[in-house]
Amino acid sequence: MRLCCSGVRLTRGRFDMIADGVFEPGIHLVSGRIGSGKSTLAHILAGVRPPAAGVVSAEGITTTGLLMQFSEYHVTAPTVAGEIRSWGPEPEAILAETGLTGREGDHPLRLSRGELRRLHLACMLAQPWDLLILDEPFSALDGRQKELLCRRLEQRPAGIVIIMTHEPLHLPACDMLWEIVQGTLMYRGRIPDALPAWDGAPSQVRSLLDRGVVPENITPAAIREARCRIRG
Amino acid sequence: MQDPRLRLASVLALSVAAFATDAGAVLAMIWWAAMSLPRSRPHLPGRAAITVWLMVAAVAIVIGITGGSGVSYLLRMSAVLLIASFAFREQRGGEVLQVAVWLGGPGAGFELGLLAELAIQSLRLLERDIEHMKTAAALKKSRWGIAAALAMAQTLIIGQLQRSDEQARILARRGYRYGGTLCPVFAAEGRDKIAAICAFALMLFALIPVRDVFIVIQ
Repeated sequence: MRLCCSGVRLTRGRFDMIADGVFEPGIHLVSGRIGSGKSTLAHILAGVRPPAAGVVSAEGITTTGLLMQFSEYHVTAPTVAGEIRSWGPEPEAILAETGLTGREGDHPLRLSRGELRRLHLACMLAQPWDLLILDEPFSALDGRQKELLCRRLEQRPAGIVIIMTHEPLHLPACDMLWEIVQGTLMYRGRIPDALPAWDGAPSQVRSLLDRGVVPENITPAAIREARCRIRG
Repeated sequence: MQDPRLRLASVLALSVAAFATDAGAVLAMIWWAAMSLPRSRPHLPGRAAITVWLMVAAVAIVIGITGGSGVSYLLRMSAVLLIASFAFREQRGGEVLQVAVWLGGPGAGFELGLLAELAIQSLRLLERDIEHMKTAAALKKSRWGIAAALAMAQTLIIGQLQRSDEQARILARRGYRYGGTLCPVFAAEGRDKIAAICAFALMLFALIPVRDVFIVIQ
């Protein structure tokens, strides 16, 4: 199972981006500044938008899930229960998991942004996607919900998970690191070996790297452990 | 066209010309082709314009069946739609407000301009919302039907109402009451002026019975 980008070119107005590389099973983190083209790339990788040039080929991938940047984009049903069913799962379990029991008759847009995000994430993670692309999955979530999401992503069965984010603090244990720099998708390598080459590393990772300490991963726990190594 | 004042005036003149006579409609289409097609990325009508055109075509068929001139109606409305689509694609954020302030001043002009800007912005966001909904439906492999269309319409309306409410709160929070200060700046190129003169000439050609003028001269 793998997702290959060969000579993929993305254009959006004056914006231009090139993407080449292979996504294999594991958790991939794609970082980049706001407006660097992460969302456009997510849509192209998921096959919902054609690239301006090049080919995206999905080998051995039968099911693809894409979480778009804003949860409002996903709403297609007039009730919370209908919205859950539109994804596939039965509502009861998802309502209980997201703390929305009793609100199944509300319109999904009546939920707060955080509630709607939780709802869509629960619906997505309830299914065994071969390829799961999450565009800014941590937006509108509080710290506790971000931690829960990280744990759930780490516990997923084998498959390709691509996380597009500029979240600096709450990140799951990732296998591969990618970065969008000046209109080019760059493969930085496997984590932790790739971390020293991470131009846009969050400040807490950067401060460790500047002191010559490479954390085992980018989770809050791994970063705490690396800090202890400095003090020790 | 860079100058929104000339574009707005041209669009008004061409719409009048197109709706007045069949000849005016054909000339308006030629004007549209001259302005839209020579670009590296031509401004062709979007899906929404094509959908409206299909409705116009249906009305034209009914007019034809009931003894009216359906072909003429279709021709004239097609020209009006092409010109409207051109104006919508060419329009940039803030232009309508600038033109309204230039025309009506910082009081009533600003008010009208702001209303028009908000309305145009809503149309653009509606277009974007529909695209996202279609993407979401494709991702979920949802089936299209009456129930799905009704749900989509309901979501669009609620989304628009929420957005309007948020905008109103932001304006109120910023102390907006009536009117505002804006110094409009316009950049008109020579070809814009030529295009606008052509548009007005087409309107005059469509409205003034030219044959009668030649009879008078003779």
